Amino acid sequence: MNREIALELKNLVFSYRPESILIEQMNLALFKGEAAALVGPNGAGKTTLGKLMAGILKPSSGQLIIFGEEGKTLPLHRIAQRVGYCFQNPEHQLLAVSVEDEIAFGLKYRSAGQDHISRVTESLLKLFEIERLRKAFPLNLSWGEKRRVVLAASLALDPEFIILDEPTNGLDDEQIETLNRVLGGLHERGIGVLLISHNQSFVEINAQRILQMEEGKIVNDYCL
Amino acid sequence: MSMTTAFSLDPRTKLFLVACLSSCAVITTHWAFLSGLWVVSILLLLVFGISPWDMMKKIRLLLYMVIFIAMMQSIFISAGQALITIGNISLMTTGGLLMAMEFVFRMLIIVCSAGILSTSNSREIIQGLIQLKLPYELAFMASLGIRFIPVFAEELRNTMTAVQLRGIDIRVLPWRQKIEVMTGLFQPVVAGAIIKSRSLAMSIEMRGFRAYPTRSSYLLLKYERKDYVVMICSGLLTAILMFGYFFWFQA
Repeated sequence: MNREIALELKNLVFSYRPESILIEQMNLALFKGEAAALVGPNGAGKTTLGKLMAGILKPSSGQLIIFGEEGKTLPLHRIAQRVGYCFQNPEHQLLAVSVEDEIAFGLKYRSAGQDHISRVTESLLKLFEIERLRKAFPLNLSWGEKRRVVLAASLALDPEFIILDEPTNGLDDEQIETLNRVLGGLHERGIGVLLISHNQSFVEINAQRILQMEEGKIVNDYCL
Repeated sequence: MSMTTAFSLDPRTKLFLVACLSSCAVITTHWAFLSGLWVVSILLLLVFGISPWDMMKKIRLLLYMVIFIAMMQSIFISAGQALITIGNISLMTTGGLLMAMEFVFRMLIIVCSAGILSTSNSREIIQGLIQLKLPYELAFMASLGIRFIPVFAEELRNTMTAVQLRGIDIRVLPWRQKIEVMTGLFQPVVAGAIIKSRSLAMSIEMRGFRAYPTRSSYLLLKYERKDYVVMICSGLLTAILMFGYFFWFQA
């Protein structure tokens, strides 16, 4: 099967400080529509790798190719139109004064029509079972609710690939079940997902490919 | 004075030194005197082992702002000879330019003073203030403020990243929308800070803050001979400079 590459790293090197290289000569390709999971111990560089792939961090050297374009030179707002990213801490991504404004935020300033914004917002409120919270102030919500709002807001932009950093943190079993359903839906729509997670059962349910990371290197790459 | 000696001065001595420098900078209003004072503060930075060049690089944004304010200020001052005019309106005068120079020098001296203080960590400065009889609660609030500056800076960076992650390029938005986005962001950022401070207050209470009327401290500052020498010298020098200034420049 000839699969198209969504995100690709070629000899990528990254370091926060010149004296300590965190990711060294990494080569990796994630494919369109693929559901992959990045697993590994704390401090292995999973979040850093996720942020590099989303264009939030820029590589020190090497190449990051995002849907065929050189990621190093692409501005973040352009990458975000194709690659979504949800931080480990959802509070970093809450920007509006109500849940519905939060979901509509990106679309509103990208000149989407009011009908489209309303339609998308309503469907995401329903999908994530947060309709009753539409007028709530996002920062006052529970951790799990904040996570769902941020994920809904990221999906509102209709990305082709989405990276979720520890998406099950703070979610109860029922909420994880909802998330499983949403991820299943994304997979059916051909949206690629990279899950950064410690939750093994969640990863086994939602990912077909496991990338095991240790000390800044992918030490194991296998399909389930 | 060797670099290490200067570093090991009591934070209260550094506070005194900074108070002398900043007082001179605030009281005096002559550009030549202020420029001399700036040279003194640069020399002091070198004595304390701080590279003035590196420091100016770190605060270059603030410097641009200072220069911008100085230029704006100079436009509105009509004293002296006109340098740039449009019709009958003087856009820049020698008086305005001198005032701008004074302002820039004054700000540079204050920045250098802050640089001297940065050679002690915030805990030492706070302990210095407490031992100078500042109420503990005020000193503690100041220390928290200092501690949270990098946290808020990081949060602001995250917020700007989050805006871009929604596919928005704030630079290309029309001005009306730009203002709308920025003012919209202001509310959650402030609310976030309030929520954080509430949790912080609660956790401080849970650790028994103000459980007893007085607090003991593991860190106790003690003046040494060099501190007295530096304080006496800087006090005397300030008095001489002030006398000289009022005698020569204001006579």
